[in-house]
Amino acid sequence: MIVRMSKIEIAGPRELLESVLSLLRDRGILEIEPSAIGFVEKKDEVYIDTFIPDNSTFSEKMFLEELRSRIDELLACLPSPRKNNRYLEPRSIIYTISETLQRHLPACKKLYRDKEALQKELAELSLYNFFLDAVEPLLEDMKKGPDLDFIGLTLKDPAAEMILRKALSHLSDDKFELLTTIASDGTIVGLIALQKNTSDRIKKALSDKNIPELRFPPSFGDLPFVEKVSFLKKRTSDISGELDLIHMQLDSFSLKWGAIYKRVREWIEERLSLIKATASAFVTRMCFFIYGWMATEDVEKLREDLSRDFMGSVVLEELEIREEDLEKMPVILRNPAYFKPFELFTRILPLPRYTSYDPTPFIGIFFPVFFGMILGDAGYGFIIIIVSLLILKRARKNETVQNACKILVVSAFYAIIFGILYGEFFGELGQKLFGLTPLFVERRTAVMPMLYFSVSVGIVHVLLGTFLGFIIALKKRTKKEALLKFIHILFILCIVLLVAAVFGFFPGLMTRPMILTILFITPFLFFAGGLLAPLEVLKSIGNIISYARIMAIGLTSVLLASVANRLAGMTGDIILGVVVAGLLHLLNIIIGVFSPTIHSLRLHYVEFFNKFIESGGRRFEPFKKNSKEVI
Amino acid sequence: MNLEKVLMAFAAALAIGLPALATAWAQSKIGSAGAGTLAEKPELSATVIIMIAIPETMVILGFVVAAMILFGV
Amino acid sequence: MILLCDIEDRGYPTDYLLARIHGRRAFLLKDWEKVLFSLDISGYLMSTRYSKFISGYPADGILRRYQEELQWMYYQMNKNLRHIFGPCFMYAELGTLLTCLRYHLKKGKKTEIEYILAFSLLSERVKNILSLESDLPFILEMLDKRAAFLSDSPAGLSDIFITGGLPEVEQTITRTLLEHIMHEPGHPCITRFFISLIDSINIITLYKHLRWEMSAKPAFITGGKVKETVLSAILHSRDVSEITGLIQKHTGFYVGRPAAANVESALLKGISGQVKKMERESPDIGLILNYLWRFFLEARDLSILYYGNKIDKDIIREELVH
Repeated sequence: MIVRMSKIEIAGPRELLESVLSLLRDRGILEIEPSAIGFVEKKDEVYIDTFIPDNSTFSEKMFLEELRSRIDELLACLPSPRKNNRYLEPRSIIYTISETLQRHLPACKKLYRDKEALQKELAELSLYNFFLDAVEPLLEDMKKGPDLDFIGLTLKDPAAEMILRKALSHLSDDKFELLTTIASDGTIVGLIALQKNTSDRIKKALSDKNIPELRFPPSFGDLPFVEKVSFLKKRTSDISGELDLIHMQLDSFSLKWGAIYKRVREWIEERLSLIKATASAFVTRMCFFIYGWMATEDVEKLREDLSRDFMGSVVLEELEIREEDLEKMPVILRNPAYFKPFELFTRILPLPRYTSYDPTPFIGIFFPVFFGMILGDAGYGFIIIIVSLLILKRARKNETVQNACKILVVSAFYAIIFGILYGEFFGELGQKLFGLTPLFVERRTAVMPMLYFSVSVGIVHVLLGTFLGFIIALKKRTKKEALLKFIHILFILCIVLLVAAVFGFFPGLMTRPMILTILFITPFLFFAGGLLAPLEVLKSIGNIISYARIMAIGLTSVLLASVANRLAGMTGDIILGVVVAGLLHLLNIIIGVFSPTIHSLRLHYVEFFNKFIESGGRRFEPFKKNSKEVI
Repeated sequence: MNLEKVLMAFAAALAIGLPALATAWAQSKIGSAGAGTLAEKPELSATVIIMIAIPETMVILGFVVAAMILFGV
Repeated sequence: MILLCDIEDRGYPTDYLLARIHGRRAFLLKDWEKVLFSLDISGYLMSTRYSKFISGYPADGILRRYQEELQWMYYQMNKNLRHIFGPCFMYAELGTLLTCLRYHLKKGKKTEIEYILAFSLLSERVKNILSLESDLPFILEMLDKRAAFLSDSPAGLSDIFITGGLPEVEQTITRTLLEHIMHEPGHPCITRFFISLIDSINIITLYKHLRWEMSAKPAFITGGKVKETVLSAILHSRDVSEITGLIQKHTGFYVGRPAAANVESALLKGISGQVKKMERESPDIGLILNYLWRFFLEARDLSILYYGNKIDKDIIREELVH
């Protein structure tokens, strides 16, 4: 249901504005309207102004905003604090906090920057790790001497190694040693050892041939190759040590101060939201006015609270709701416990207008029935109920899952009822095992009667939707639209009766009067709905035929069940038969949960709701704590 | 099996097969567009599922016709 | 397409990308008056998708967001789309390439060049040339070898650099790339877009020559709808007001008194109109092209706002296109 709303004016002495706003924020039941249009009489507009904060409030706002951004900077450097300090009241110490922050911020920033620099360096060094890990055993294999020089390089493929070997022997007169190994990332890593006097020549030749020699970061300086390896090891372990130290410092700082700063930030948010909300208030020389919307049922309570807290100097008045207000009234949907889970489905739709209907109760009533009609198997229904109840017990925290399970339980209950009507229990198994006979119709064979039944359901549903549209049009006093909807209903009824008469469900005598009636009301249809009105009627007819899916999807489900049973019979083995049938039935149940859900939803969204629900409502957004969007 | 029966079976197969292809094509289009929509606005997931179900009307109507042919209405 | 990086085809369907672009279009800035007159542009942008990018130096952030969006589009495209839009990306990355060359000329920092290249779509080879080397003539020589389209140009880039300086090199690269694009067969939408673009560039070149009374013969780009003979005729008449007629014929916008700002914005608006028309005619390629174009204009307008925040708002407003 859409909750009844009231249009509210709160007035009081100017100096109480902030305290009143603070009370309103604590209650969180009033949506403040930032414009006075529709609230103030035209002639009074000259006396009323938007509230403009005085200089001290303005400078407080600047101060708080600046402090907040500095706290944000600080918190960005820290690991997130684990606990929250709820008991701190920052109002009295806010200036002290600001001063402390001046010391803390640079220190933390420095630590953070150091941390980042070290992490970057570590990442850079790790690029060389794979190479040096691979090269280290090679180094041990070669005899180390002062007159030896080492060149490290990476090679693309084994063929390159051959070419390199040839080139080296040519350049250094065979006085070299080349060892290769495969590094952890799959590249071939090589180490050339040669005499110092030839090394420069070879280095140049390598770079000419585009064979990349491994270059080290500048921090390594001019160390000889062998020492570079040990330097890398040492540097890596040094950095890890330094990083640990910085982490420890940041952690301990966060433990000591993090929660305090977080609480201060929260307080600043609240304070700023209050200051921001004052901009939506209106003032005369002595008084303030706050305009807004709230649920009618809460009005009395708020009135009492205000008069008690402010000794009667602040008054709340309910204003008259005018026709043009209906457009901008915010909408709250509230439903009784049975319908509540079905809000899961309505949340997908845009919010209805205040003057329209909440779609939830309609889905609550019709969705399970359609679901039952489509699935229509007592055995499947039982299994779905049991599984849903089990999940319901397990997933206590997840509200969406809870709601989905509740919907499934209700829907499966209807599936059982229709299963009994159709005489289905795991397909025709019920019939064979304990002589279950269809009370209404047997879906497997009676395809056409089922089709007529589905379409009849469609006729009732679509007519109901159009009728509701008619009522809304009457309520809104749009006579032409109401007339259109009424003629629409007549038209559909006539066509249905005509078709029924042609197919022989009604005596053939009905045909003539029906055709005459249709001819008679057609001009009215054009008058009320313009040239496109017949198209609307055609669309409704299409919508009605679309309900054939109730029969069609139901039939697939029955046939699949029957195939499962027949296959089981064909195996000739009890255990194997049960397994085969069980698996196929399981598949059918899974399909039987999704398919009917999607299709009955579609029947609601596409065929039913577009007849009467007007979307475009505005969600009620009360002024409350921690609400990011204040205005 | 006589020719009439074969033809009826073939007609039924066509009645469901062609709309099934059409539905598949439409769903592939809607599906890929739906995936794109979801990547931008995850809150529309339920709407997208419904959208994907919409072309199924075609194959359902095809199924109805096929059933009518086979069950001799 | 040696200029652009080659990535594997991820095979996203075109409809998928179109749906995503439909979603993303909602995030293009709409309320330009608000941006223009807000005291603190960064503050305003914080409430948009730019929030992530403008914490440091905002003008860089705008470029970064533009580059990221381009890269995102490129990666979401399948092979076919990437082939169709190759020229657009090449032209966009031409900007990156030229910026890097300018940095090299100024002997800019290596980190700055790396920053510009981080989200660029240029191929690894071109990126390496630009970021690892520091000698400008050498870079140009390497580019000559790498970029296939440059082989159309008669003289080597490094020679042009020595005789005419970097501006000459930029003109040559732009001209050869655009002529190369027009030479290859492409999607009709993309071809039409580049025709408009070439016309606009030619008209601006012509305007600059007339306005600054340059004596050197301008190098017009061939392939546009406005013939070179028409351009040369106006050039010889030395009459700036002739440009008004040309712009109006070309874009439908009337420029009362031609000035650098309004000539450019009128031409860009003309292209916007063309692209919008293409979107109506070809809902897939046109849509992507329109989004790319509008995104480019948004980045351009925002940079103008940032660099010109001290200039009178009415003058700035004339420069904005969106």
